[in-house]
Amino acid sequence: MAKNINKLVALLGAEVVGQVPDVGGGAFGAARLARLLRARLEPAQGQRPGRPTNPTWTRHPKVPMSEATERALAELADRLSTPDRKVSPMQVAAQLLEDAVARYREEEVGAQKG
Amino acid sequence: MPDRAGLFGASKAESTLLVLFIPSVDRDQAAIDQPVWVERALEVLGRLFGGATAFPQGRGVWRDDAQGGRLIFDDPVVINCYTSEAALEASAAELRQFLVRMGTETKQGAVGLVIDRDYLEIRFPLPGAENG
Repeated sequence: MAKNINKLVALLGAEVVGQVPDVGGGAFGAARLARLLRARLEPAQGQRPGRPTNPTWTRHPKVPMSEATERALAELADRLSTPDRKVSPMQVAAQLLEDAVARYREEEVGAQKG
Repeated sequence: MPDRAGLFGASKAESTLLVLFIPSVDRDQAAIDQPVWVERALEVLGRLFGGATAFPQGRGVWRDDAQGGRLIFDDPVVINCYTSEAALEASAAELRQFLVRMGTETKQGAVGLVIDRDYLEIRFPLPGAENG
């Protein structure tokens, strides 16, 4: 979020209607997230085929979150799903988490290199 | 934060994304001269912020709550412009002038823009504006 968004809103004489997901790239970030999820999710083989999942997601820890975040994830999953490929809120959460951690590690490595 | 500009020997680095939506229809779903407004938007953004990129038409919808929730379908052109908050503040008046001109002349219910993660609207008619 822009640090001085309220000032910019006042200068532009506009109203803030809402926020876009933090997936990088501004308004195109949501499209990027959708592509990422559809590309990485594969239908499971064997036990419970049907709901696609990322084969590298082998851990399933519980992650605390607020009700507002849970609702936002559900809305995002709705928007990212298509008739051919349904995405669950927790799959969206998992992808966002992986992206955030990867970005943090890149910045940390970058900072260490000076 | 690593100096990415220095890493690539870049002479410019901006980290605030401004997105404009250039509509294809007016509030009554009649076609507008979208290419003209895309060029005008690029001219303004290029002059004010140093550069911008317009992407081919997407498919869009806007709910006109002032017309009973009527859905306005269109094919907007989305323009991305990387700038800074300081540049946006400095040029806000001229950017608003362009957006108000576009919204008024093309009879929009609202003009939408995104600054980083915030979606903003300038709604029409403007407060205090006369009808017609």
